[in-house]
Order: sequence, then C-alpha cells, then structure tokens
Amino acid sequence: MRKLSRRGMLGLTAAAVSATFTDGLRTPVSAADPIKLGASLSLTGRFSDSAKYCQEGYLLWSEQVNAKGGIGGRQVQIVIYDDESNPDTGRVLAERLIDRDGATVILGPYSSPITDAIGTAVERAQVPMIGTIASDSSIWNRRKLRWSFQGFPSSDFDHEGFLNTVKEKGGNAKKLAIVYEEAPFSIAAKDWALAKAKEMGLTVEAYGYNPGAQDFRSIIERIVAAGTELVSMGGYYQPSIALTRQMIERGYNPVAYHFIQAADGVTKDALGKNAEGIFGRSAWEASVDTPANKAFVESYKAKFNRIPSYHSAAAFAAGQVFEAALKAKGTDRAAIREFLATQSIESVLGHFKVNAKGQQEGYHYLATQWHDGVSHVVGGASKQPIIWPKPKWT
Amino acid sequence: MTLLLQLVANGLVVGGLLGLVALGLALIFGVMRVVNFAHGEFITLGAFATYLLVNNLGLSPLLGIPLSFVLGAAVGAFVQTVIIAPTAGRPELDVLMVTYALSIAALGLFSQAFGGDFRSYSQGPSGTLDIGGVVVGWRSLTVLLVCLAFGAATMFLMQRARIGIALRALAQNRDAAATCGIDVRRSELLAFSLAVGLAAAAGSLVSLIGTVTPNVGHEWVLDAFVVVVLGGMGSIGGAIIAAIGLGLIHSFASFLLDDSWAKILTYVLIYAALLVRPQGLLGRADA
Repeated sequence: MRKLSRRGMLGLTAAAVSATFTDGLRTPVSAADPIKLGASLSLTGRFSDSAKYCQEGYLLWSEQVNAKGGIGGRQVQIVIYDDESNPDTGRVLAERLIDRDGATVILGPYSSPITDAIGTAVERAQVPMIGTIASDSSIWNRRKLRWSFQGFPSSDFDHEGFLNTVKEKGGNAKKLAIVYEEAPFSIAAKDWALAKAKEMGLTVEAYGYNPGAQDFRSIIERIVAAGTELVSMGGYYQPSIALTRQMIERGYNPVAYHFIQAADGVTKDALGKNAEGIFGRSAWEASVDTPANKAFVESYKAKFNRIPSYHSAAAFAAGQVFEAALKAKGTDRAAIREFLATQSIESVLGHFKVNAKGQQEGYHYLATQWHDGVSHVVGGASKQPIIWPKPKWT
Repeated sequence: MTLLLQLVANGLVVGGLLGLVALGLALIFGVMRVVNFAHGEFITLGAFATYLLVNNLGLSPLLGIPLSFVLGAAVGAFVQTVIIAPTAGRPELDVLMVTYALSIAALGLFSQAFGGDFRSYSQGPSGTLDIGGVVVGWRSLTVLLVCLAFGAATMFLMQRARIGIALRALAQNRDAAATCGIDVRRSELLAFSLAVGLAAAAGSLVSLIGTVTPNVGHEWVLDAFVVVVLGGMGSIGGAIIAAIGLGLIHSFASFLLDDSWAKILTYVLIYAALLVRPQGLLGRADA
C-alpha cells in the first residue's frame, strides 16, 4: 500500500474539515423542504415605521401562495432578519441568509441605501434579488449589477407625472423651477426633467440644495425673482415640507406645485388645508381599478384591518414576481436571474420589466393631487378632475 | 430695496433661532467650561414635546414654547445633578466624553420612542404679514419675536440680576468667585438648566417651522458650535451677534450663489474672521 505524503494527508484533512463545515452550514435540500426566500428588513431603527408594512406585504404573499399549495408542490418560507436600518448590517444579514439559511432568492430590504449594500452580497454569491423599495436608479448606474433588479418605480421619472399634467393643463404657465437635492437619485431625476421640460418648450431653472438643508428662503427668493409659475421639488420628505412651509410663509403662490413625496398621508398633518391642490407621485394607490389590485387590497384589509400602504403593495409585488420566476424556472438561481432580466411579469404594481442595467421600466409613478384632504390619482386613466391652478395658501 | 429687506428678514429668522441655540451653548461653556455635545438632543426634546402637545392633547404650539422651556430646564437640572456635576474636577476631555455619550444615548431613546419617520403639525399661526412688499409669515415672525424675547431676558438676567452677576464672575475667574462666596454648584445648576431650557424652547420653535425627527437637534447644533466659536467661546453677546451675522451672510450668499457655494463662502468668511480675531468677536484673548 502506497504511503500518503504529508502534503496529501494535509489535503485530505482540509477536504474533510471543509465538507464537515459546509454540511454543518447548509443542510441538503429535499423536494419536501420549503423554498426559502430571505429578507433583511429594518424592523428597528429609523426605517422601522415603514419597513413593517413591507414585512406585512411579504407575509401576506407567502400565506396566499402556501394556501394555494405552494410553488411546484413546495411551500414557501420567508426568513426575515432585522438590519436595524443599517446598510452594513443588511449586507452581513444577506450573506447569512444565503450562506447559512440557504435562501434561494433575496427579497429586497427597505430603502435604497440598504439595497445598495446588499447588492454587493448578492453579486458575490450570485443570488437574485428584487430591490423592493429601492427607487434610487443610480444604484444600477454606479456599477454593473447582474443579480439585483429594481422592483420599485425608478426615481429618474420622479417629475414625469407632474410634467405630463403641465402639458395637459399648463396653458400660459411656462416658467418651471426644479428644486433638487445634491444626491444621485435627485440629480438623475432633475436631469431627466430638464430635458423633458425643454422639449415641452418650458423655461426651466434647477436649484440644488445640500442634503440636510432646512432653510430654503433664499432659493424661494430666487424662484420669485425669476417669475417662476411652476415648482417641482425632487427631494426627501423633510426638506420638501420645509420648502413648502417657507413658500407659504413667503406668501409665494405658484400656479402649480409638486413635490415627489406629497402623496404620503403625513402631508395632510403637516400642511393641513394648504395641502389642497399639491401634486405628488405615487408608486401605487389602493384606488387603482384592476382585478389583481382589488384582490390584493381586499385580502390585505381582511388580514390587517386597514388599507395597505405602497410599501406593502411593493413587497407583495416582489413576491409575485419571484413566484412567477420560481414557477417557470424552479430554484435554479441562474435561470431565475435570466427570467427576471428578460420577462415582463404581472404584479400589483404593474408589469415588472427591467432594462439592460436592471432598472425598472415596466411601470412608472402615478401622478397624484390632494383634493379635500385625500390624495387622488390624476391624469392617465383616472377620471378624477385636476385642480388647476393651485388654490392660494391660507 | 424690497429684495434686500426681504433677504435681511429671512436672515434674521434663521439667525435668531441659531442665536437661541448658541446662547445655551455659550452659557454652559462660559460658566462651566463644558462643551455640551448633547445640546442638540435638548432641542429635539423641545421639538417632540411640542409635537406631542399639539398632536395628542390638541393644544396650541405656542403653548409648547414656554412648556418646553420649563421641561428643558427641569431635565437640565436633573442631568446637571446626576450626570455632569459628579464629573467636576475631572479632565475636560472626560466631561466632553460624558456629554457625547449622553447625546448618543438620548438619540437612541428618541429613535426607540418615536421611530425614524418625520412628524409634523399644521396647527398654529398662519398667514403672512406684508410690510411694504417684504413678506414674513406669522410663524417666522413668531420665531423671531420669541428668540428676541428669550435673548433679551437672558441678557437682562446676565447683566442685571444677582445670579447673572454671579455667573459672569464664575465665567471670569472660578476660584476668585468661589472665594467671594458664590455658590458654584448652585450657579452651575442654574446655568445648565437655563441653557437646556433655551435649547428646548428653540426645539419648540423648530417644530413650528419645520419637521420633527430624532435628528432634528443635530441639524442646528453644528452651526451653533460655529457661532459660539465665532462669537468668542463663552461670550453670550458674541454668540448673539455671530448668529445674526451668520444668518444674514447665509441668506445673501445662498441668494447670489447656489447652496453649496454659499456654505463654502460662509465658512471661508468665518475662517478669515478667526484669523484676524482668534478669540472671536467678543471673546477675551485669555479665554
């Protein structure tokens, strides 16, 4: 019998240790096991208020799938960890979901920064992910992501609904101001809007502000001095409310005013009657009259006793997209990736369809406007009349 | 001319609020030689207190201003007694770390209690005042008037009241003041309570014109630190002048330039001012 060399012995030992550890980390999968989908969600920390709605959407989707007998005879199981609203924690948890829990695919976290961080983990492990609540399209511009797909409408089109309304109702109002945050998502949206506005024959000026800014008085003075009639704000909620309040305080009444977060219910609390006539944009509205949407809203109401938010709808939609991919391709990750990259898939948000970079192109934002304390979808297929011009601030 | 006056009015509102925050910081540093990193969280305290008052109890936000001041003063007295006073005599860096830890802990508490979402209310003064084409909203005007009132009251206290004289004596020479019979612990307790009360009142005003989040105080306190340095560390009058100056510079610069350049220009001017007067506008050279 040939004696093993020291190097051969070491090699065998390493192989045995490696096999033991791998087996310990990942249990062999059988056909009876559930299909695992992993999610890192911000169950605590600054995003927790909104992320819990996401969790509800995921759980509702998995319950419905399992009630119908699962996918290919296998139940689905969503493994959720709390990333504490921290992108680095989200990335570590995604690695854990993939390596230890054996998640076949990753359901996106809450927010663009955490999606961006988890994108690194899923690229490395080659696991498909849908960025459920990631509107920031620059995530897919900054680097080539093959395994992440944007599930949320792209922020590039933040001003689109408002500009369409201006086209329809604008009349003599020709001077537009785009206020934007010096952040990639807002800059990209501003660039898109500038080109579109010029194409529409509008005189347009862009006004940037630093992230965290709360004082917009000087920007407002510049807007007033330029004789601007239309204002569209493309920043986060907090600066948007600050800008709006300071416009009210200045007594400056544009003909039409849009801020991208306006559809959020908090706008009514923050602005009271002054919310009337303000345009916003929404990824999803419960009032959209499609059979699939109606069924989702009814089932959500039956389970949670309230109308779903867009967070829950986006999460439910991400589940639907993966459901279609898993039905078509089984648990082969590469095949699922290919399916997501090339197919148009129906969901409660609309038809999921991404471009070559993985950015969402199948559905854009809906235009909304506040009428009598309620945010309605306007334009497009909506029959809701548009308030034009905006009522004067009170 | 109208535009010029409009920019002045805008600058005064921001400067006034900044001054109110800086006043407390200057008071704490002047009397106690403590750099209070937790000052931003006391602003947050006032902002949330007012929000709860309006949203949960249906009261006017104007009532929130004095109530926040009182609440802040009470919390300040507690923090001074339980956390800051026991560190007396320790190196300045130790005390600085204590206030930093307090800031982190308070931020965590606010985040746990209220989550990260923005909160806001629409109740309170509404409408605008038009004076010869210069338009100021009643909310902004309220902020300006309240800041003026608190600033004047604090200056009066420091210049005329017995306790104010004691605080100034402490700021000038701690040992000599103690030798003259000034109760150092009591004076420090009062200074810290007053400063925190002012911060909480500023927070109440911030909630009136902006939104409320656990980070809302941080957004103001960084500029307030700059104001304190520019005014002269510990100088109350200097802090007020620097705050108004900063508000006006920023108002004009961000009208003429974009926001980023305005910020750069503002800080270049501050740097230049400190090169000419390292002790700040009204600071003493030996401070």
